[in-house]
Amino acid sequence: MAGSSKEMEKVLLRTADGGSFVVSRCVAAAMVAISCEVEAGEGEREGGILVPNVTRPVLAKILRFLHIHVEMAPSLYPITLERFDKEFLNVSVDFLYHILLAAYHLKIVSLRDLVCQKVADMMKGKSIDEIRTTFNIPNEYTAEEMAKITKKYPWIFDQQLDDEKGISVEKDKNIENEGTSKGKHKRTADELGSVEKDNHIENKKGTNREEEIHVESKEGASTGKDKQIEDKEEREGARRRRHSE
Amino acid sequence: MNPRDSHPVSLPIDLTIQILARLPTKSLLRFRSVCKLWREVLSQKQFVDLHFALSSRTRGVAIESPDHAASTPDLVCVDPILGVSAFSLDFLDDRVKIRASCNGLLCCSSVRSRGVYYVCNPMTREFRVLPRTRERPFTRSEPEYEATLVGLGFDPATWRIHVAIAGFHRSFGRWPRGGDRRLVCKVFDAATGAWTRFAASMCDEFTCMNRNQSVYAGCSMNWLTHCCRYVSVLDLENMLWGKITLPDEVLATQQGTRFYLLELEGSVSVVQMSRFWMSTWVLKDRAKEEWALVDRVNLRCIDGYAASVFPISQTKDVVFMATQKKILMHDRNSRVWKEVYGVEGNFTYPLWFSAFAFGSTLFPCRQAIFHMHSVRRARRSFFLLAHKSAGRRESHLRSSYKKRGPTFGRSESSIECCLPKKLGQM
Repeated sequence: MAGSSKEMEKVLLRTADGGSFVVSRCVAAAMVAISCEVEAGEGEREGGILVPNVTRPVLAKILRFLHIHVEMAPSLYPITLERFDKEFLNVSVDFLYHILLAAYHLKIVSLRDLVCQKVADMMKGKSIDEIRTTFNIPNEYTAEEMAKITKKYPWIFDQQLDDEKGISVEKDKNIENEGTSKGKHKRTADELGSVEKDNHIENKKGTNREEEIHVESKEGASTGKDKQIEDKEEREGARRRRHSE
Repeated sequence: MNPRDSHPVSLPIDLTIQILARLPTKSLLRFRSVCKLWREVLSQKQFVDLHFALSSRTRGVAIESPDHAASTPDLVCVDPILGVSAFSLDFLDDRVKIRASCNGLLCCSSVRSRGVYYVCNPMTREFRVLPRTRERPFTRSEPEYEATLVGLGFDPATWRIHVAIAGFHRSFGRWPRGGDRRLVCKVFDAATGAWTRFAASMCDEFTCMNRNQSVYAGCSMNWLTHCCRYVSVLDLENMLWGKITLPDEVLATQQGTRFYLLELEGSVSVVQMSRFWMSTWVLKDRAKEEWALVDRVNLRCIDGYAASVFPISQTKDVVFMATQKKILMHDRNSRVWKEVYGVEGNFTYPLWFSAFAFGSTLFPCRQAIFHMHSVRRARRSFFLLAHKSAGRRESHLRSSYKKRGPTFGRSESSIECCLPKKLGQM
């Protein structure tokens, strides 16, 4: 099978700060910015391909991502890929930005979208000043103009900032639980209670702590289950790969 | 504690746009005030369209509060990412009932003044008052036809807005006999700013649920009918009614099942519910009337609710169902059912009646047709006409126009109401 053997050929990649990596051709081709050079066969030369705009640790991380998503993806369950993505992005914020910039410059669309989503999730509940600090944007509005805007659009600037963060976190925890319908009902009644706007925030803050404790104890039990599932999936993946070979 | 205080990074604008397009609408409205560049970027059509394309994860339901009590919000939105949030429709300055929802916009009819309709975006608080639908006020000898069907269409590609209302006409003192009833239809096109009226013969009935569930797809409004053998389609370009037959497999197993019409990613889809199964069919080819089965969900987990649960909204990943007092969410991938919202106490309407498919977007609903100067002049003459035909409703409406101050989100100040060129054409 000429196609797959060509893809399995090894290609040498170098970074500006002296890192060098040997990867298979399909992984290198996934980086669209250097895919022309990969096609031209420059990876097999002694100097390899110089990958611009990345440092060694960032490229190592990106290559790991591409290895899983390009080479191993056909033999993995989607849920394993999701778990990998979640774990993969569990890094410091600085490093995340470097990965984002690298994915942008190397034109890896799937990684770029993934990191953009993660950054958006982190930005969700923040205030305007925090965003300005993070993105290094100078404040172009005077205090009076800001006051005017806040007064004109009060419903945007109200205190529901924290809610946007709070609810999504709880939702992640909920998904791990498959309680009975009665249990679910109770939890929802506690979480959501009345629909009144004024009490909305107080209710959330009050019940948050209780919910976290409640859910954490359940998580303890379910991580055991998760591990079992992961083992099972890895075994399935290995079995599948063995069959395909 | 903000870990990012140490190294603020400047990103290329393309990347910033990709990140911003994945934010929820409420955050975006806030971040418009970060800097002028962002304000510029966030109001461009390309950005709004990109945000819409990426927002399929946040489609959920909007529930209208039936009681209009001071403490309950007018609108409660439930979606899989942000959970439950509450909104108010007080910017309309009128008591309204939501009649239709499409791509983040709502069409509401005024409860106080019959024949007045609004199209609004509850997130951005933009709204538009549609021109009145009736030539003359409601009197004993000119009874209104009930607006049986109300549909709202917003085309995400062209940003064109259509509103269709239809009602069975009956002359005073007589009920229509036989199967041949006159359905009077009016279609509002935002591009022209006027209603077009036409009548059709229609022998179909529409149940309560049918009326609530209108789907806009391919420049047509779709409703299911009571007999559940076909979908009634109103072609908005040509002002014609048509039919699309349901798939044969569905018709064969029609006995003892219920049908609902929902949108799925821009296409018409029919959900068939039996005791244990919920099948979702999508219309793949409108011309050839080809349907495809996309999902079958087992209802065993919600066996207790199965008889009284109704699908309200769906995406390719989740389905939202409503019962009398609860909203349930089903994740198609993990096959998990969750209860995401519930109400306590007694309400006038069950939740399934006042729930609509809704996903917040930044789409605008006000397009300036008239220059501000001519709007003011036209409004003055409109008031003159309204004054002549006197009546409490008209004067209330006039005073509420005056009361409204600047609308939000735009530099032009007062409300723009699209008045027809010839006032007699109303």
